[in-house]
Amino acid sequence: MTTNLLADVESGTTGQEDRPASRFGWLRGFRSARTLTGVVLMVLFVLMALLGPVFVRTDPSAVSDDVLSPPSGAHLLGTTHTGQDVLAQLIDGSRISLLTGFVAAALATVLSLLIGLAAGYLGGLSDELLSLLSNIFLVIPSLPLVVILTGALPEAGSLAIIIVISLTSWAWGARVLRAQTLSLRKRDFVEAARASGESTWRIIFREILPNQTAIVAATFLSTVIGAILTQASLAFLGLTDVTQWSWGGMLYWAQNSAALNYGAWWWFVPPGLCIALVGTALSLINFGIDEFINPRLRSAHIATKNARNKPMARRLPSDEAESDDTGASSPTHGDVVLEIRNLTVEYQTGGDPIRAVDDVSLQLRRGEVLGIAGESGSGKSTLAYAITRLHQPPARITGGQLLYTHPDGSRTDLLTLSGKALTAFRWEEMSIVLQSAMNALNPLLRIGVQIDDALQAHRPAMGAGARSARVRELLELVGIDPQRSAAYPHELSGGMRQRVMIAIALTLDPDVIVMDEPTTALDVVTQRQILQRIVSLKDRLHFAVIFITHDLSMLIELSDRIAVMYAGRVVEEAPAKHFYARPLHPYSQGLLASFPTLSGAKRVLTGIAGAPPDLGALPSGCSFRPRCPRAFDRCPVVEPPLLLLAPTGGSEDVAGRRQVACLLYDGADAGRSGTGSTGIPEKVQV
Amino acid sequence: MTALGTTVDSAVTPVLRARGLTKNFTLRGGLFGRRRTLNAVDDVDLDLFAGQVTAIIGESGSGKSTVARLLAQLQRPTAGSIELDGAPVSVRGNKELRRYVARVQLILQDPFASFNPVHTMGYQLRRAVRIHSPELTPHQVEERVGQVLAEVNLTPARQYVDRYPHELSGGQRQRLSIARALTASPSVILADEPVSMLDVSIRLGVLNLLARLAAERNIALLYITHDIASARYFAEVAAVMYAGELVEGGSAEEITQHPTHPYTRLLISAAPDPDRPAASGPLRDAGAPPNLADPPTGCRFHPRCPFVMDKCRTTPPPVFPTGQAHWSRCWLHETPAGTARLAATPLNDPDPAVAGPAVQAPAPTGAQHTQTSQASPTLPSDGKKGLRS
Repeated sequence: MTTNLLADVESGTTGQEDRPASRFGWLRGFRSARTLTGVVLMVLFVLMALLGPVFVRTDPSAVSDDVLSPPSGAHLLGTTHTGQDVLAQLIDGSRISLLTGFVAAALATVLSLLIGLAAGYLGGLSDELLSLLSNIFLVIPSLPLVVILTGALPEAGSLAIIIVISLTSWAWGARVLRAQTLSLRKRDFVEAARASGESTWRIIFREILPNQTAIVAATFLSTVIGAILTQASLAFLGLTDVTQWSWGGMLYWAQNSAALNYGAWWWFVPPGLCIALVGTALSLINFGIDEFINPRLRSAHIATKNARNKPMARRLPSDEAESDDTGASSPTHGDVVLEIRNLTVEYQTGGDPIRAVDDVSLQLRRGEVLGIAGESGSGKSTLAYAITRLHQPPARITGGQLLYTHPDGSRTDLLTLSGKALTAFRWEEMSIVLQSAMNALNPLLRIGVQIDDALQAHRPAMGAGARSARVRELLELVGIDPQRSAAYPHELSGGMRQRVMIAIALTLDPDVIVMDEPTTALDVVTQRQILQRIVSLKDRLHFAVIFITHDLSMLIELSDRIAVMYAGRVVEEAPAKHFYARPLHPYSQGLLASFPTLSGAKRVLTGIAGAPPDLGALPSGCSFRPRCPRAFDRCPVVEPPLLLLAPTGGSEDVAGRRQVACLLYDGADAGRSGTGSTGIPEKVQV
Repeated sequence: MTALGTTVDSAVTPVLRARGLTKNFTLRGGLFGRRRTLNAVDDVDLDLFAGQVTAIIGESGSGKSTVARLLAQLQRPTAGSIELDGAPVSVRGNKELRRYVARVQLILQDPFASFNPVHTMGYQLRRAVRIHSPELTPHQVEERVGQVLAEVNLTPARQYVDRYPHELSGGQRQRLSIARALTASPSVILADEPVSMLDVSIRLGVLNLLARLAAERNIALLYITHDIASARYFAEVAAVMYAGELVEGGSAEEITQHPTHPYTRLLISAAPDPDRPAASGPLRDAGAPPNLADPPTGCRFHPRCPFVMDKCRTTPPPVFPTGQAHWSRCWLHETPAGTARLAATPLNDPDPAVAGPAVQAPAPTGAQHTQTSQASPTLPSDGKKGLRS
């Protein structure tokens, strides 16, 4: 019975392209020059250790008369004070150095994995005991311990050194892995695995461990560096078997034979350089390790070079004419506090730029609430950030104007502001409240102090007494007892914190407040309380609000006018009441037919088939076309412009106008809209 | 009152039944801090019937997700019992858990977090199939994965199995969670806010899919949500949860159209609703849900309740029947006068204390007792606030 009311929108498949992940995605890790350098260097060293003795057949311990000779054809890297070949020693030494490094690191990593994962996942007593163990190992100074242990061992062979190094270097990794496991353990996918009856060891090794590969690899690589250095130090101090060649051992002999005094640089520089180069190579690989391992990072890189807060370089042709115009062009200009004109915002990614906001024009009148509705990917949040010019680097405003009308009637294009002027403008005339904002309060400062900060920064002339009076006034405005100005953010509920953010936004009496999903994270009751507060404040203080949300039913109740965004464009703009009574765009109709109603008779929910489009691969013509139940032959061909429909009243006032970007309302096809009989006004093309 | 709703015979045993379900969490206050108990779920009775959608409506912190986790055996109840097909459930050890979860599957809220980011979707689905049917050959496993993907309208299957979670949209991922639940052929699906993180235009499709599966495969579906309007459309039976307790239950339509608990009325008046008459006044509400480590005495809603009476402050209300297959945990319904007072007050009355007939004509004490004793026999004998059909 219930299901009958929900019409047949069930299909999950969309017209999306078939682009599954490449099996060789990890190869993309090599794209980074740093990583590639590291890998090449490391491969060279490994080859040197493996194949070196095949090519350089000189015995590294063979003594000759050719003592302390500089590099020559016979001895490519010269000789030592006993005439031994430095190159042969270097190659032979690389085997011990690398072997010690990798084997000790492998042992240490296995130890830290076992202890870290067990402690993190099992918790309780096992966690406390294992953590205690690793903490003890952490506070023991490891170099003295190594020195003592190597001294105590009957023979200081490579194996002993390896064991000693791994025993002293696992604890740090274990701690990091334990912390990671603790946080992963609470993640939903682990919960899902537990709920499906997966066994504990499988959850640890198949679900949790693969998520830590990057950390394990990074820990391993840095332990390798550490182990090589420790081995070199021990050898240099003569604590290892000095008859066995290693880079540290070479340095030991060079030091003991006063190579520096003889100026025999060829003796001590090569081993030192090798140690440094191996360290560098491993560090370089470490930088890029995430790209090899994390499937998410294998996809296209986002270019991050871009100017932020700089005035827009490219000006539109109409700009010059407009800058000193005080609004003769629009009859309702005096009323409009902010005009967004042809705003375009692009994300500069590896390939083609992605247009998140495409040629959006909107007008905000003084004292009104303009609601912007849209789903994820519609560009509504990008628009919010662009209006306040808080957008982050990969996003770039590539066109348009943001015309702000001062109370005296003069206009400023916000896109031409920079630096200080922009900062001043942002809080004085326009402020912003974001969804996450309530978590943006500094946890260490009392809320009164945080409001006071804004006053101090923008009203330096204001005395302490006046400021504290203003803080009290602001808190009262948003419905918080002024006594609570001494409270810390954690002492307040989410709703109260969001009220504080609104108080901060109101601090300097702005004309415009941009709100991006300010109540989404809150419960319905709290949400309603805050919305009511916003509306009453707006009526009292006469600021205008741009309110952005995905919740259309809330928006209709709250807004004076509504603009619906889809794939970066405004597809419909209308007074809220008219919009609700008669949505024009098929997308708006679908949205309104998607949400269940609480009062009145139940109606059939038809919903919208498919899913929001990928902005990087928009369909041709109308972006909504693949999901549109009323698409016809022109839709894939023509990108529908935003058509102005003459309001029934005949006035061209912003307040009452309706605009829609749909070919159903265009020219010869207007008849198709099928709404002619219901009194849809005649359309007028702009 | 023998049954809630009329679609299912009252003699039918529920697939999943919970009685007196209670969960306390222990909070440790530092090294020497006192241990405190947080009563997240208190004495919840619930019946889930085959082929029927039951909703639990509540705000964050109401304990609704804990109920789902208790029913899924992810957490052990402090008190109370769970019966599956009439047999008491006690899950100890992994084998029993697997046998239980083959029948009762949980779908989590966040489709972005509920898949392991480092494994392909195919891996995660094949794993789920193998857990429940270890005897299948690799080829049969592959076939089964294709089947469940087709069930959730994700075709062709090869387009999804090789992908990583981040390569799919929220709607697709939530369908995959449903597909993962279906690998077990469950008779109960517990859906914890299955659509709250999805786009508006996607939600309907996922809800329709769940409803169709419940109907076609005769699955008992528990739909946990904060969105009371969606419960009206999607569920047949619903219960409202506040501060760890179920406070009102009945058919979803009854609850949303004729709420009989002041909290349900508050929820409804706060929910966005463009159809609401413009005349309705501002929301009358002070306060927030209580701290469950120290819940109010008496009725847990009394500090926020516009109808609060002396009794509410001291004695927790029992369940009162408030109509055909409709009950409410509110002292107002102890007397017909109280019920009438609630009914006569508009949903969002600025000050109900001075309105309503109860103030003018308080019921005599004797009449109250009569009413109570008349009401009692109509309650389900086995569970005072059971959701029954």
